[in-house]
Amino acid sequence: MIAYKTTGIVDMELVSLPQDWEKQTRFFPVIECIEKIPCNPCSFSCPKGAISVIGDITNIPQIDFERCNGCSICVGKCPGLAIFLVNPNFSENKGAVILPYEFRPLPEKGSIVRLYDREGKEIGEGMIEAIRTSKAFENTPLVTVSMEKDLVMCARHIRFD
Amino acid sequence: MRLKDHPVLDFKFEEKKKVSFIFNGETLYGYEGEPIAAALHDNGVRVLRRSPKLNRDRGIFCAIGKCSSCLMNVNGIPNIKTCVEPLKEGDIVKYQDKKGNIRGD
Amino acid sequence: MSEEYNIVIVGAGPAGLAAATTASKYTNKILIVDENIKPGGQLSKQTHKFFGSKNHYASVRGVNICNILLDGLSKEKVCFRPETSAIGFYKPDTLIIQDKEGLHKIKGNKFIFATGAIENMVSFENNDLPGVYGAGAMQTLMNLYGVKPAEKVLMLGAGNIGLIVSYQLMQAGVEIMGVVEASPFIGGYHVHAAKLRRMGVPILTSHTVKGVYGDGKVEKAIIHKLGGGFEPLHGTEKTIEIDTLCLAVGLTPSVELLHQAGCNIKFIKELSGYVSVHDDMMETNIPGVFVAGDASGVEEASAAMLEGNMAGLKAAYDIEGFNRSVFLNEKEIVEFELKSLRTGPFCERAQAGKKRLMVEER
Ligand SMILES: Cc1cc2nc3c(=O)[nH]c(=O)nc-3n(C[C@H](O)[C@H](O)[C@H](O)COP(=O)(O)OP(=O)(O)OC[C@H]3O[C@@H](n4cnc5c(N)ncnc54)[C@H](O)[C@@H]3O)c2cc1C
Repeated sequence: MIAYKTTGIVDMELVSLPQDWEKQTRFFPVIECIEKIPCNPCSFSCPKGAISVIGDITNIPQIDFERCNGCSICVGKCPGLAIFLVNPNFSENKGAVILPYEFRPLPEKGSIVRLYDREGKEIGEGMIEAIRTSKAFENTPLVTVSMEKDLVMCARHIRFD
Repeated sequence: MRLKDHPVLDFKFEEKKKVSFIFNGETLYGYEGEPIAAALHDNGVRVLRRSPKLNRDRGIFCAIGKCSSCLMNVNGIPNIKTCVEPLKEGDIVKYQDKKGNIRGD
Repeated sequence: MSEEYNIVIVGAGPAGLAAATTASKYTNKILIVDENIKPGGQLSKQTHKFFGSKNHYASVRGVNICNILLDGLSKEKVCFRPETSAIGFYKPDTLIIQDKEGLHKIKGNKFIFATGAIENMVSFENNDLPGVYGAGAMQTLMNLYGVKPAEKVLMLGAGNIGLIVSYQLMQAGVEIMGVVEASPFIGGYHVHAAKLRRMGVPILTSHTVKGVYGDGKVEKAIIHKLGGGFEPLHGTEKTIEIDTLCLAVGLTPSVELLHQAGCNIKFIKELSGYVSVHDDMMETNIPGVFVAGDASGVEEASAAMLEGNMAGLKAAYDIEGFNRSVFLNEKEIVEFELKSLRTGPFCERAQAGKKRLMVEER
């Protein structure tokens, strides 16, 4: 049996990433959706047609990184909150992650937050660069957090006081 | 406690009518039309009745009118499913002992 | 004197509402009764975005789907009576309902029972202590009536309901002390488990609750590990301070009315209990009596809506006898979507159960 069925933590070998992802200088989606579940809104949400669920609705979404323009609509649409946008080179010395954050209160732009990995372990600090909410995301706020470059593939949740 | 700042839902409490009701002689408050059991829960009341045979405390269980764990005496009538019974101003709600009886005591 | 309707639907959950939606395209005089204060069944409490197909409101929050269904119903054709329980059915055409005024007889041409399901209980010490709640009850309190339902919760069951309700509790500011699961594996979708894990919630597989303890209310739970044969492992007990133990250990179809009506009831494990035998258009062995949604086998809301569509379509067709190709076309669409929804490993069980059910003689 696959480890995530006991741990609840995704096996990153099962997640597709662009080639040389560390060198990317724009946001790309990391779709942490690895199970055959009946779900396809991501494929309809993408205005560029970069995500597709081919054949049965239970098939795993396929991503064409070439087509993605980093608009983040899929992050807001995914019912599993399983899509994150990652930019490993957000600035000269920072990377950034766009993540869904459905809690109150919302963090403030410019504030410092604690970062947590997939196990809920604190891994460092980040800064809120932007917060967006939209009806198109069914009001799931999307938070852009900048952080040390080596944290972008780990940071998946934030907290603050 | 009420959820005034929820990430998804807006309960619009300011538009709702607050009403008072009596529980075991004490005046409590809730919103008109919500289930009596919800108003009691908000007031910290967890024990709603006592079981007929073994005298054990009972609280809410299903909250959809199916399990009869929340039967109480409301305005003199026993065995009211308080999880689906809307609250009205002045309701007199009593803890129900055993099967309850028609005199309401 | 009794009222007369073309179609009487019991239950205003997604199945009942979908049945009314489809039926009202072709016929009128439709009555829906529901014993709860608000319509929507379990759907109105789901604050998360739904899975499933884009064509079936996937990515829309359950509560909003519920509003879409309700707004779409024609007031002229569909009459809704809340706080009204259906308590008996007498062949061929009489339903007994109970409301504030008392008992009433309702006459109908077709009946659709969309009564949903009830949450399961499991046995452990003091499982009747106030503070042991069904997951749905927590949802009713917090998502329908805005009551913060607890401070510290332990969830029993790591299926989708346990995982989703834990997350919703956290959104209401409740602390989740952990999710306990007897099976060695998390039963729900990985994505739901992942949301809890990144917020630091432990999911303890191969564990169960030994008992809950407290003076008149839950104050703590003792959990322990289970071995390969689900036997408790001594010396692994752990005490957790909580004020609520939430049960998410499955649902059982509500078939009491169907049973009393005389439907052919079979125990089908894969559908979570006793269910009424029905054909491919949801009609039971009693002509004119249909079943839809969780009451016909526990699945989820998308399947419930499709089954409702199907029952509503057939009931309306039998009454109105409209254009056959319109009927067959719509039937085919619903069948196709149900089939596609039931593919994949998570739906194998329901799929197998439905197969077993349908091969039974009508
Ligand atoms: C806690 C919980 C969480 C869930 N989460 C999800 C989810 O995230 N995604 C998903 O797809 N599905 C979810 N489900 C399942 C989904 O909500 C159900 O599959 C779906 O609601 C079933 O629809 P239904 O119409 O068959 O029944 P229900 O929604 O249960 O509705 C049945 C209705 O019938 C009424 N009723 C019953 N008996 C009578 C009677 N005798 N007289 C009058 N009225 C009666 C009830 O009051 C109720 O309103 C969840 C279920 C539960 C319990």
